[in-house]
Amino acid sequence: MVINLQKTKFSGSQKIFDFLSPKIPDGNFLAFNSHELKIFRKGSQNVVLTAQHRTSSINLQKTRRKFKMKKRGQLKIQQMAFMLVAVFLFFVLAGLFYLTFVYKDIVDSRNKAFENQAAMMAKIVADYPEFSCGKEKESEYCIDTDKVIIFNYTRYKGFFPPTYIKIVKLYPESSTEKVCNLGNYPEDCNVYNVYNTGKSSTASASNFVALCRWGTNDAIGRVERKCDLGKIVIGYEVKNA
Amino acid sequence: MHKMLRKLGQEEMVGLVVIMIVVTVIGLVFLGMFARKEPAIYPSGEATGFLYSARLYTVECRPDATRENYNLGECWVACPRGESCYGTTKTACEVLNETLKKMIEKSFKIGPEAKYAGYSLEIYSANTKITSMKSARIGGNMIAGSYFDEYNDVNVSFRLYPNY
Repeated sequence: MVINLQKTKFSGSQKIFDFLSPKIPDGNFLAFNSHELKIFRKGSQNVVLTAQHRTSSINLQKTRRKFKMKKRGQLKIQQMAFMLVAVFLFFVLAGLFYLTFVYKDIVDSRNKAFENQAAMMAKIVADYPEFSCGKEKESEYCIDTDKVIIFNYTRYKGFFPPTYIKIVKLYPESSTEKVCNLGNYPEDCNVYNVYNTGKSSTASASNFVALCRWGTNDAIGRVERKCDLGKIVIGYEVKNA
Repeated sequence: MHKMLRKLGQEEMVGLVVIMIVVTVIGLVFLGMFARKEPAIYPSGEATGFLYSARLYTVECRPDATRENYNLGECWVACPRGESCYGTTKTACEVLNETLKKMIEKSFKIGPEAKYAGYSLEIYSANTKITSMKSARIGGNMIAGSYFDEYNDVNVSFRLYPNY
């Protein structure tokens, strides 16, 4: 079979295909790839059109280049996709890193705020006139243990919001814990169970207080105020909204 | 063709290096910002409560035979005046330092496994430091309390460094 390609100008291999297809007798078929065009014929030798065929060879080379370009483009797109994923992951990690720091700061601030609130609550209780030292200048954070030891909760039932109030002497330190009562007060005890309603407490707060009392100073033969360092602990109920 | 491809490859490598440098610089700037971050100071009701209570603590120090024992608040006023404690060999400053140190150690759990890693305390009288004390390990975020005695112009600053 002779097909004159030289008289025909093609702009692409698809066009060669389109040109040749109607000329192929029934039972034969045409195929092409980037290198060559093949006409498959039944019971005979195949016709192979290669780069040696002047007109078609140009078109075939173009086709080949086109294929190469397409492959290169795909690689580029793949590269860009990888880069985008890498950049995205980098920013996600950087963001997580930053958020970890910010979150830690927020948690710290919240904990400190709670601690402060609890400390202030304990201070308010310490400043109740029923316990406070009373001297205006020095009454802050000062508990008069003489008042505490005779405090009778039954007269105040329902008046104080805390579920319990306990005062512990911290310094000078005692070796054993001894609850104060009128029998061992003031020298031989270190814990004042001011009152306990018996209700369960869902939270507690504490703060430092000076534990002051009046006593005789034998060295000077006079009554003077003597203060120790202690801690007031209050229990209270947290009501859920 | 080969030359062109080689050139393109080189350009790509240069681009990658530039991106890597830019990303590294941004990362370093971020790290620098975090590393240089000033430690936070949280006001603390507990630390303030400690100072207000401690100032009333009665110490074994009195100026003469007829006067009552000082409390710590009077002691840090007597210290810069160079007063001695009657009947002992100690000065008001020595008693002040000893008592405060013991009180802090008994009142707060301080150590590597405890709630607080360390503490520092400074007392200023008329802007002059009269005493300061601190534990072996300090630094980082802190909770702070202060007491100011307006009448005697004494300023006490107490800081605790929590373990995180």
